[in-house]
Amino acid sequence: MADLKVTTFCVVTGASRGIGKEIAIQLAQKLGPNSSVQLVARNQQALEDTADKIRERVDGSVQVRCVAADLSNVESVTNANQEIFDNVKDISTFSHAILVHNAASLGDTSKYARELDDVDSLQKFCLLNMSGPISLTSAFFKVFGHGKDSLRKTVVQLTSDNGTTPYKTMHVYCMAKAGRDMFFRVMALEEPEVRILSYDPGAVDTDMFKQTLSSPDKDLVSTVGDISKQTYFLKPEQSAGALVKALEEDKYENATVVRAYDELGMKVD
Amino acid sequence: MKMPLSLRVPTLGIVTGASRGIGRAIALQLAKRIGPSSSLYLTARSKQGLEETAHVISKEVNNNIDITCISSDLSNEKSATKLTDNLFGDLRKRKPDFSHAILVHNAATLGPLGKYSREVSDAGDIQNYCLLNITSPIVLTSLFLQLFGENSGLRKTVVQLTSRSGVLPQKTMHLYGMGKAARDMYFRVVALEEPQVKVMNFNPGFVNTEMFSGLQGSVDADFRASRIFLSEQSYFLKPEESAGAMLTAVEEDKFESGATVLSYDVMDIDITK
Repeated sequence: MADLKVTTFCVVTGASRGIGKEIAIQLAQKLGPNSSVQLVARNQQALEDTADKIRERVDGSVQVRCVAADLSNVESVTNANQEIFDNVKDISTFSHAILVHNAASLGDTSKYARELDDVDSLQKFCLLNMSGPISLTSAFFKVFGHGKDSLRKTVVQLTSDNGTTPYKTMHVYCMAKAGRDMFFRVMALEEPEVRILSYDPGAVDTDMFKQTLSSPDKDLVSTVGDISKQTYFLKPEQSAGALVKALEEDKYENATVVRAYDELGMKVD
Repeated sequence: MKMPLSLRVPTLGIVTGASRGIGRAIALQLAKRIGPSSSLYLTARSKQGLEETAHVISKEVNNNIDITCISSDLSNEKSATKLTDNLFGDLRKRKPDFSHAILVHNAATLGPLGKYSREVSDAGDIQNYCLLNITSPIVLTSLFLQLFGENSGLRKTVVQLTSRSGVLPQKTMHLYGMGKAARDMYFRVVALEEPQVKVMNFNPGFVNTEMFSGLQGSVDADFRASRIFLSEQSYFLKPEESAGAMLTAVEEDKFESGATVLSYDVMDIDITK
C-alpha cells in the first residue's frame, strides 16, 4: 500500500472537466495536510470550479492553484512548465510529488489519414499530446530531483486501448498513445525509483468520448453508440476512483498499462 | 498461394533520407529492380549526398529511369512544406503512367540520446523531432494517397522504416522509441483505412550505418556496449542486404498490410542462435 496521506505536491493537467476534473477532486482528498495541488488547463473559469469543489472537501491547509495555459504553442508550454512549479520554495516540505498527465485531444476524427496534410495542426497535436507532457515531466524532475535518495515521485499518464489497437479515424490519437506508452516505458527503465502509472480509464462519458461520434466511419460510430449503452460505460468519477485506488494499492508495474476495468473487477474485452 | 508482384514495371518511387545509409541502399536497390519509364524522387538534407546517390545509380543501373533529387530539412516546417509543394506539385503536373507507386519513409533521427528521458526538456526541440520523424511522414503519406485518388489500377505501397525500439524499451531510446511506436501504430491505422494500399512497417535489423555508429553517443554505458556487441555479430547487416530484403518482401507480397516485417525473417536468418 502507498501512503498518499502525506504532504504532497500534485499537478493534474486537463483538470477543467471530464476525467481530469474528477482525478483532481478525488486525489486531492487523499493527500496530507499542507499539500499543494496545481490544476492546469486552458479554461480558467472551469479550473476555478474544480478548485472550489476541492476546497470544499479538503483540509484548509491544502493549497489549490489554477494555472490556465494554452498548451498548443511552444512558448506558452514553456512558460506553463515554469509557472506550475513557481511556488515551490523548498522541496523538503514535501514527502511526495505526483504529476498526472491527463490533458489530451483526439485529433481530427472527422478525417481519414489520407486527409491529414496540415503540418501546423499535426504539430499542435504532437505538442499537446507528446512534446508538452515530456517537457513538463522534465521540469518536474528538475524541481524534485532524481535518483535513489531523491523525493518520492509518481508520474501518471492517461492512455487508452487505442495505444495498442488501431481504429479507423483514430489515427493520431492511437499514434500518440502508442508513442507515450513507449516513452514512459523507457523512463521506467531509466528511473527505477519513480512510480509510473500508465492508466487506461476505460470508456468514459466525457466530451472527448462524444467527439468520436464525428467520425465518418460508420462502424466506429456504431461501436461507440453501443458502448454508451453498456454498464461498463463509466462515469468520470468511477474511472478516477479506480485510478486513485490503483495508486493507493501500489501494486502496478511501472509503465505497464493498468485498466480501470481490471481495478473495478469488471469483465470487459 | 500468393504470387509475387514483379517490381519490374513503370514505378514511381519516393525515398526520404536517400543521401546515405539504408536510404541510399533502398534507392539503389529500387533503381535496379524497377522497370523502364520509372521515376525516382529522392530527398534528404544533404544535396551532395543525394547527388552521390544519383551518381551511384547512374553508374550501376542502366534502366532509363529519371531521378529527381530534392534537398529538404524535414525537421523544419518551411523546408518540409517546400518539399511537399515541389514534389507533389511536380507529380500533379505530370500525366504519370505508372503501374506501381511506392513511398518509403526512411529518414529518421535518434533524438537526444546523450540525455536520459528526464532531461529531455525543450518543447521546441521535441517538436522538431516530431516534425521529422512523425508529422512529415504523415503529411507525405496523405499527399501521396491524394495524388492517386481511388485509382485501383495502380499498385500502391507505403513502407516506413521502424525498429525494435518501437516495441522494446531501451535506455536513451526515449524519443526514438516513442517515434517508432507512434509510427508503427499510425501506419496500422492507415492500413485499416486504405485496403487498396499495402502498408509495411519494415524493421531493417541491425545495420552498419552512420546512424548505428551514432548510438555510441548514448549517455548509457551498458547501452553503448550492447551496440558494440551487435556490431560484432554475423547478423550485423550491410545496408544493401537490408534494403534488398525490404524490396524482396514488397515483391513477394506475402505480408499482411500494416504488419511489421523483419529483415531477418525475409533473409531467413535466425538471430537467436
